[in-house]
Amino acid sequence: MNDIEEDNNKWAASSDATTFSEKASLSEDLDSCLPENLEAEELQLALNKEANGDELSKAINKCRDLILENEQCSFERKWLVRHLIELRLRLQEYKEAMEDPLHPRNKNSGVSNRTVKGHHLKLQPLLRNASYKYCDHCTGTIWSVVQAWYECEDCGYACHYKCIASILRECAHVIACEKGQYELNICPEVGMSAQKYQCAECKAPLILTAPSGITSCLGKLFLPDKEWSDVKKCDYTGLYYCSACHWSSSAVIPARVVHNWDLTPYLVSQASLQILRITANRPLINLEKLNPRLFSLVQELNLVRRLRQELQGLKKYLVVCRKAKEEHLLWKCDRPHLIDNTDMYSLQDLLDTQSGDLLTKLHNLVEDFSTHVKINCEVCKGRGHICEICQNEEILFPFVSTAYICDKCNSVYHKNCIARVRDLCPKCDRIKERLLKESENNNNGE
Amino acid sequence: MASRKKILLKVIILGDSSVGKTSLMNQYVSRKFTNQYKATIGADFLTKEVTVDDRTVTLQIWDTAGQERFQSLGVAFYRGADCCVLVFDVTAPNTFKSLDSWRDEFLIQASPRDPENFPFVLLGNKVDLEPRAISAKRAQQWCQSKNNIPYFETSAKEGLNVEQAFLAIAKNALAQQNSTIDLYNEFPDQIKLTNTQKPSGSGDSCAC
Repeated sequence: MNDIEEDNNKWAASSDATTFSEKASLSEDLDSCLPENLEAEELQLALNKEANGDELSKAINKCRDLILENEQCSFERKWLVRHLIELRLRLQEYKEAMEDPLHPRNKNSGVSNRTVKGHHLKLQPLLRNASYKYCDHCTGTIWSVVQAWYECEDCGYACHYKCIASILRECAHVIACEKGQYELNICPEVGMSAQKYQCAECKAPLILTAPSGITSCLGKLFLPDKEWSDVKKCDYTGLYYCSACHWSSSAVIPARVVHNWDLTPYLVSQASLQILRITANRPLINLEKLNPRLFSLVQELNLVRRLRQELQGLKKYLVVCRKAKEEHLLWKCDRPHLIDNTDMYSLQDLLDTQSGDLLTKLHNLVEDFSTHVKINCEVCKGRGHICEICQNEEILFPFVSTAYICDKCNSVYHKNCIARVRDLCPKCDRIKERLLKESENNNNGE
Repeated sequence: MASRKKILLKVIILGDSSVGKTSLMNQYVSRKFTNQYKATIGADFLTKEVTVDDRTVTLQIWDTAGQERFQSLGVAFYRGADCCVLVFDVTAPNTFKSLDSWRDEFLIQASPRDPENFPFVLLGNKVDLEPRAISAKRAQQWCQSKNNIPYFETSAKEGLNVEQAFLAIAKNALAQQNSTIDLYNEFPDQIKLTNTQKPSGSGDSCAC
């Protein structure tokens, strides 16, 4: 009994796939070229534009006339027939829209924004020819010419108008904000039994075994490339998904980067892909806490850390400098967290560390900032230090590598100079002396 | 000789937090006063042109942070100062007590050529307020003990004595600068060594 049901499912799936591919090839033809002979009629054929009912009817009539004018079996005729079908579909959709008060294409409805499962869905215009979009809910192509479609402004979730009501996936933006942290265990698999043999997202039953017998043979004959097993594992969540929720997209997995410095992309579910995509630039990884040893193992990372520490030192000057504020110097960085702190990294930062882009970026920032502090700005220069041990006139800044900073009184000396006086900070000495004197005076007074 | 050259006098205002350093400067430079307290973060300077003894000079007045927690940055700007203004609050005895350490720290960090005679000016601010904690006499005594520092009682709020105080500051600063210039001019064909790079203290060039 079960077997039969499963087979039926398979057949349904495979027939879906056929229509799907047919549709795709049809649209390819449609999109790729309007036959040259028909270019003159382009404007009357309502190509890829939001036409109203009248315009569509007119275009349908025009199209019909043109079909009769063109030779049988000619390329133009084929194109026109397909176009006629499309126009009729569009007219149908338009009529439906006019009847449905909530339909987005119904201009009187005013429904161009919907909020479902945390998604902020916005009605989208027609797609450009070049790009295909698939519905994140039903996985079907979005025929933007005939189908109204929506996209989430926060996470990029795209779906048909007709699919809105049944959306299952929570908005990735909401999830990322609520969780505020990546999954940091590498592929935390719980096993199919714990998932009750259901897709982690849509709860569709997962079919483990390939169908046997004649159905299997036929299936292989028709679709040799299609894997029979419907089950796909997401490397990010460690959970199993059906092929509607897992499209075999790949992404770099944060946990693998943090623990193994493994920057290769792995297969992930669509839900994970969307989360990883929108969080790529968010500083969510506290590398210092999660895996401090990485800094000693990855040379580039160590350099990045050093530059970020230097930026911290420079920032101290820039935040209190009037001129730097006027020049918006601190805002010139497109990744503010690089300057805000030294510990937090975004996934993109780590990828760019490997490629060297981040180092270049940080080098430039350090260069810009130190030119301001050390050369251009009178006030910042004035806020530098003069090593009172050697009394050299050269201004010493705490963020340079030769500087020693007293952790008690914040005085700055040359490292060599403080070593010469056996690490005894002269200012601390004076402070101590003063306190002593004060307490003596107080005692005498009493 | 120096009269034709534009003269820039560097003045530094020091004192505990909330004694009125910024208010004094603002009152002097732009004649404005606000009752709101806003801690100075870091340091900044304002400039004002004044005429002292028939010469036009530019005063570069450095206002500093009195609060300890905003003092983490350095004080390289003390170097080359021509006059140091110490400010205390006549109603807050602690601000008077810390004058000594402000003065000592300044002399160490600025390391002027002749520390004994470096011009300081003391301002007892907020004389419009009651009750007074530090009498004029006590302040005067302190000034005498420090090589006769000029003393002014001011009120940044009322603008009382501010102009006079800064005029005295400018005069003292000018005198200080002239004395330094005289020092340079003792030998007409001097070779100035001060601006050339000394071997840096970082030890790279150290032979040992």
